[in-house]
Amino acid sequence: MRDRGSFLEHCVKIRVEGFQQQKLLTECVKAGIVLRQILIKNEIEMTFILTNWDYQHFLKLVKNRYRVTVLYERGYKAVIHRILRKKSTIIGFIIFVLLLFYQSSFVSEIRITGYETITEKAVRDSLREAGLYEGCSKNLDLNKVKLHIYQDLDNITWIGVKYTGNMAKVSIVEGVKTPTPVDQSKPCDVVAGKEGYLDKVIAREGKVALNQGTYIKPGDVLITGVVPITSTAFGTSGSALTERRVHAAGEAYAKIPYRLFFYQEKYDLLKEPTGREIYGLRVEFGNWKINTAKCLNNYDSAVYKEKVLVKTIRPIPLLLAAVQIQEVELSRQERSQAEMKKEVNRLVRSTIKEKIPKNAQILNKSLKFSSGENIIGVAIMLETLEEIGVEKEITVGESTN
Amino acid sequence: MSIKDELLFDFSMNMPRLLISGKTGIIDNVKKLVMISETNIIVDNGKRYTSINGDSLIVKELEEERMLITGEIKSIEFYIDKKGDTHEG
Repeated sequence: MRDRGSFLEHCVKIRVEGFQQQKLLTECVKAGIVLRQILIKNEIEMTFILTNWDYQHFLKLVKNRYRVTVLYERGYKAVIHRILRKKSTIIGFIIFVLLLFYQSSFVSEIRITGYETITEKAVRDSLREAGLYEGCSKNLDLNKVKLHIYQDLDNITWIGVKYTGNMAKVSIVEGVKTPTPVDQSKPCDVVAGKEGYLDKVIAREGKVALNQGTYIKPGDVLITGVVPITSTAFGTSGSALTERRVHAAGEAYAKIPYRLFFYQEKYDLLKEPTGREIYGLRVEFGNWKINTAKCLNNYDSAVYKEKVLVKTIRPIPLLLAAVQIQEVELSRQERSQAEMKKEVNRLVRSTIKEKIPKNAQILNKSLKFSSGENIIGVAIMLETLEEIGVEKEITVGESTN
Repeated sequence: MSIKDELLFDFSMNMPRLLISGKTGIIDNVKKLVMISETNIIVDNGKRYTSINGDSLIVKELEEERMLITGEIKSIEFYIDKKGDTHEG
């Protein structure tokens, strides 16, 4: 069977002008030429579509009896031929692809996450020194960059660098700084790390310096490393010594008060649906946005609900969401104290988690409500028992550390 | 339909064979086109002529003795064959 191609491949729409149209069409049928969309416009003019292969045969068939005009060409082969004819377009496209490729080989943005004590600037400076900066080539040894960061910045326990498109994502994890313990051979005091009321001091080495119940401030000596001695070696050089310096050790506990204050709404806002509703669509296409429900909304108070149906970024940034606007009647109801207490306790628990050390023991908690016009202030007094002792080297003159 | 009838139907090369469904019609054994217009299409099937009358008639495809027509088909007529018989439908 002959391969005459398909209409999808390459077809031609032509206009044929001349007499005896039916005779020409009969000749086409006999020659096996496939015709589509035959449209007889008048006695001497007709149009139809045929494949490119058949078109060449058709031209031989009609010779010079009819005037044949090509109206258009369709099919992927025709499109390719049309594109290939435009040299400047091809050159432009190649340049565009090359530019795109060239542009994608550079870092356009650096995003740093995970830093806490180290500043972002310090991390950026260090990355720059390692060769990673906005505008640098992506062809970079990331292991060398990581190594440089480890060497340059203190207290980094982990660093990760990865590329997402043209963006470099740098994640760092900082270590926890533990206070350096004083060398066992050096004399030291145990001092208060926080202010509060001294509750209990257990001295394993050294002498307890303050009594229970004393209000202490950070830095106050709790267990002193200076121990007074009474020499019994009378008449020797040692008899002149009245004190001995030791490495004080022990545990010091203090009651630390915390005062927290929260505000609570006095009334609960109740939204009672009236039964009137508006449905619509929210469409976002790039920067173009429309919300049909919002355009029709004339309610004084309403609840807006939305369900995203389609959300794409590539190949086109499109968002399609179904919207429901429900009219509501607003009313308020006074909240009960038990309800507020429950809410405040939840807030207190989350604050304790954030602010109070894990090993602290909560001794007392009291809530005090003070009513305002529309608001209720809740003052919370918390009393915790915490270990507050910190070793501090005894220095005479300048520090030896 | 007996086998004989089916064979006669399949091998009746010069007789009109039509399939009409809704706004589409297929005519087989098209030997010659006599007339094509928006309201009337007449073809020669060899021994008979077939005339299709209607509105907005368009020949969608014409290939290898088969013609596909679309449009509002109102009536079909068969004209005199070469021997002189008349048939109408």
